[in-house]
Amino acid sequence: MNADDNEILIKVFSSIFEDFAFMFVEETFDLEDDSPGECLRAKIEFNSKSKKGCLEVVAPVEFCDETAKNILGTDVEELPENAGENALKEILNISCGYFLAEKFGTEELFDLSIPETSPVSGKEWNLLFNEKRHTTFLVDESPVLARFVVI
Amino acid sequence: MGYNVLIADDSMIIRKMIAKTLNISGLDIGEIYFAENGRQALKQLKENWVDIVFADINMPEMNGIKMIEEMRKENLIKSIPVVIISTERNRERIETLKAMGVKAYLSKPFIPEEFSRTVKQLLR
Repeated sequence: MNADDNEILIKVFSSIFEDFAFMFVEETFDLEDDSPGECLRAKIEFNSKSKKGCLEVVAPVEFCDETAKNILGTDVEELPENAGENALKEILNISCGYFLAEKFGTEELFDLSIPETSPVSGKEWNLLFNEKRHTTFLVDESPVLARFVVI
Repeated sequence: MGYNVLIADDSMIIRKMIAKTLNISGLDIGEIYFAENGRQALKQLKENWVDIVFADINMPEMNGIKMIEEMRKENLIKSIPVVIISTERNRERIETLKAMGVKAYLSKPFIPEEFSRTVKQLLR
């Protein structure tokens, strides 16, 4: 991922987390690889006539629940089942639409897949973090990894 | 009697957000029906009286565009106003939706005030 993509990702996620979940993104360059515990990876694929790729985000499970709580304006104990996972998927879905428009403009017609999630252990999170292929930022002090790939 | 509403979106978070926004909008809301895709939405529309539909485009099994096409084939439901709430940013696709009779288009994440204003105009 190049510097421009990093910049767009930070800009888009900052805007979506703030508008949708009232949470604030802080770009970070000195994050330690301390595992935040069990995480979720959400992935969405996109394609147009000339482009194909995906956008993914990895975030701690507890953070996903906090995001759902903020979006729905409810207590964590009252959250419906899978609300955290659902919140991460929707944040990714919305961010992908904005990211593609920001990067390629609004003339190109993209189809998006339905976002999918998978669990990521603390150990896997460390591996992903140390690969340095993801943009890393903090959202309300929780570490989040994001990556854009175009084929 | 209040307005009956159908919310079609595969995201539970969005369905709940729309329902919550409707309930605090000051509108007289009757029943709120939910669907996770276009197919379920069509079933709900055939079984219940609905005054307005809120739908996403990108849904599994049957997307929002196909759902609208199917609605237009059915006399009893073809004139129910549809509001699209989506992440779609492509101008051509938004224009196509309007040409298909979509009454309003709102971008996710929507602003509750803009949402309420749009719905009030449509139900007036």
